[in-house]
Amino acid sequence: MTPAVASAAIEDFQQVFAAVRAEIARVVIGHENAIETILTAFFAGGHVLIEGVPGIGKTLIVRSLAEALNLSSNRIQFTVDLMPADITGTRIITESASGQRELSFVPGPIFTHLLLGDEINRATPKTQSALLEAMAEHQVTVAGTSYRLMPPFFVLATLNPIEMEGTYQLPEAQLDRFLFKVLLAYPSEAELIRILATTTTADPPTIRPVLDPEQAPARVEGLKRLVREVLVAPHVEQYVARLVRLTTPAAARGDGDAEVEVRRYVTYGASPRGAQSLVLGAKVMALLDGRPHVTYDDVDKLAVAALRHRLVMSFAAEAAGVAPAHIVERVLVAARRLRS
Amino acid sequence: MTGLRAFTSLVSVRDAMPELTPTGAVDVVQRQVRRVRRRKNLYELQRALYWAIAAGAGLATFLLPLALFAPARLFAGAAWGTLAVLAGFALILLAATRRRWLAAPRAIAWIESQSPLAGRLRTLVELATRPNGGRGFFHALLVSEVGRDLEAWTPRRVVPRAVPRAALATALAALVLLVSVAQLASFAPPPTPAVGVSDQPLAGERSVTPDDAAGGERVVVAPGVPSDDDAEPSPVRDDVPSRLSNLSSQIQENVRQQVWGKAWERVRDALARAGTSGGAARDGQETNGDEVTANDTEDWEAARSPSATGAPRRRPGVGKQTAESDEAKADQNQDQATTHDADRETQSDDANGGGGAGTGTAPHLFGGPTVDPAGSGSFELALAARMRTDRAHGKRGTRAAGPSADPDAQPALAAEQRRESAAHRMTVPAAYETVVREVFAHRRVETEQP
Repeated sequence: MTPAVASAAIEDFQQVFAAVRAEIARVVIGHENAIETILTAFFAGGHVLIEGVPGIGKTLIVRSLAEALNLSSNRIQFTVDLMPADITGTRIITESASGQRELSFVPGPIFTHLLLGDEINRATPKTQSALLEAMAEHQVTVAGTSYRLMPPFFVLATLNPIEMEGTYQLPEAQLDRFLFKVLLAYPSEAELIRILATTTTADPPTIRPVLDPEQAPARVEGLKRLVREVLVAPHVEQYVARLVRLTTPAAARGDGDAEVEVRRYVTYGASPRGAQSLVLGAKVMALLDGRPHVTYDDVDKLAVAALRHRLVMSFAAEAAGVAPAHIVERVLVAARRLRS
Repeated sequence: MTGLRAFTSLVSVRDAMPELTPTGAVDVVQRQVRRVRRRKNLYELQRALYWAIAAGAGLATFLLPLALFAPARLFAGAAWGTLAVLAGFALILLAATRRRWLAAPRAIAWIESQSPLAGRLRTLVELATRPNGGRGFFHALLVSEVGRDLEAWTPRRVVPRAVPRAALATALAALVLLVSVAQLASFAPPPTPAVGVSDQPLAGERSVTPDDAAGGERVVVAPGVPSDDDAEPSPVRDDVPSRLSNLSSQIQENVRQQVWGKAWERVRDALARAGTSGGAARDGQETNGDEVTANDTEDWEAARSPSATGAPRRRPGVGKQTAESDEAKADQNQDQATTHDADRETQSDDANGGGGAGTGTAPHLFGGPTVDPAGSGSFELALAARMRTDRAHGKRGTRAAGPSADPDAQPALAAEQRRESAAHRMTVPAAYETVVREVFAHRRVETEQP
């Protein structure tokens, strides 16, 4: 591959990314960082867990993303009585023209490009686990038969942090499958004024698709593959490995502040998936910066989003009010000193 | 000008960056990294060297006046202290140089920290070590960018200065200062002291040796002063000179020799004569019959007498004392020396000891004339009599108590025979006595006589 082609590919990626971000920004007021993180996870091939109070635009972001990319999208409102089959689909008895009855598979709402799982923590763990296979392997198995999901497949689940009664904590295995966790903050006063000005008019802004509908899935997959082509030097990989290992109490043996806090407040650290998500996200960051290779700064930018939901905090941390993001930031400071 | 142009074109050709290819990119990069390393490490070596020179010259500038003017003990303390400081500085310098030294494993990381390369150089080199490192969609682009950036991290750009100016300037300044101090010191050689002999101890004065600070216009040779705590001779001296102190003394001697040359040799000879004058004086007293026994156990010491014209100089060995006590002691010694001179001059006819210390002269400095010059074939002139006790066998100033006044009492004998240096007496034919005495004897200045 010639340098010119590679350079053009990077420019194409940057243009698509910027265009999608701009289209979403027409509808979603504020949340610029959150939108960039969500888009980063999308092009990195991961899924995003969004935590935020109701009414701040979680569903709007997903819908806008789907419209901008010209991809299909579904929304599932997770409730206590939601069953796995309601997500994955089920087999029903159908009668053919000849009168023969047979079991045929009816795909559930998961068979889409972009899936919004609203308030995912309201469903039972059994139902939540229905997403596990789909998120990790991009396939659904029903009655022993596996069905491939259409690429690209992107899950954006939301958590409501204020209505915790009747909710089920997401299992660690489920959490680990989200590339990033994004916190949507309450909009500022200026953003709120802009929201009022744009959403209460007779002609609210709409999304103009960035990609051609027929070619959108292939273009997105091509861009996702381009992300994986970004070069990562061994020293960056070593940095990521050190960073992730520092979040585990067993590996945090030093006497630094980060190590002490990890041993005190963290029960289980980030998994290898955390390291993978860091590198994938850093690759997107490198492309956005016009580079064919990853640097330390790319990793640092996404460390909190990639690691905070993977830390299992101890009771001492809950009692002391120590958030996982605080631990990740401390670990980042410690890891920077270990840069080779 | 033509040569300069040719050189410039040669340098530009040498610095021209080759076109990078994916296969040879790493080699080109590694070559340039080596060039950067060489320049950087040479720079650091120079910096360390210049700082070492600056520190050495600075400390030498501090030590030089001490070597020239301070007593041996003070110089020894300062020298070893300075050596310790120099060793500490050398360690710090070594650690700093080691920290700044650009080793091969961290050379690329350092270069990237100095240039806006955004990690691409390191990525290229590190990925080249992997089996499939040379492949990939973006590898060609990375090579292209590295080739474009080669100009951005040339040795001259990464290490802009070939010479550490601050360190070099400091080293030169320190050297200039050292040379200046040495030159100034060479213009102030010590005065050659006049040597005189006193038959009374100079209380509180310390012996003068050639290692002591130079200076003083008069050196009085006098018997040592016995002290109470020295009544019992100690088998081991407290101030036995060690190798280290000998070394510092040698250094001090060499420095004085180098800076002052013949002027210092004259001072040293004068001090050496002071040592012999003690013996000469004792020899004279030996001829006094009964006094021989009492004086035989005494050491003769050469003590610096304060200048008659200038302010009293600081005495060697009394550095810990206050200036007031120094001045008081100097006054006391000056009085004693003056008294001794007067005694010597008044007693010179009776006692044949060496007189004439001070500005006054004594015609019988080397003893009275022979009663019957023609009666013997020769006479003895105590020109180089050395009768000082060996200091290695007793603490300085230590001497046994004199024999009891009771003639029946048995005197306490020493444990061993006292070691003495050989006495040098020049045997001169009696016929030359008049001439010799004319040559060696001081002339009395009539105007100074009371």
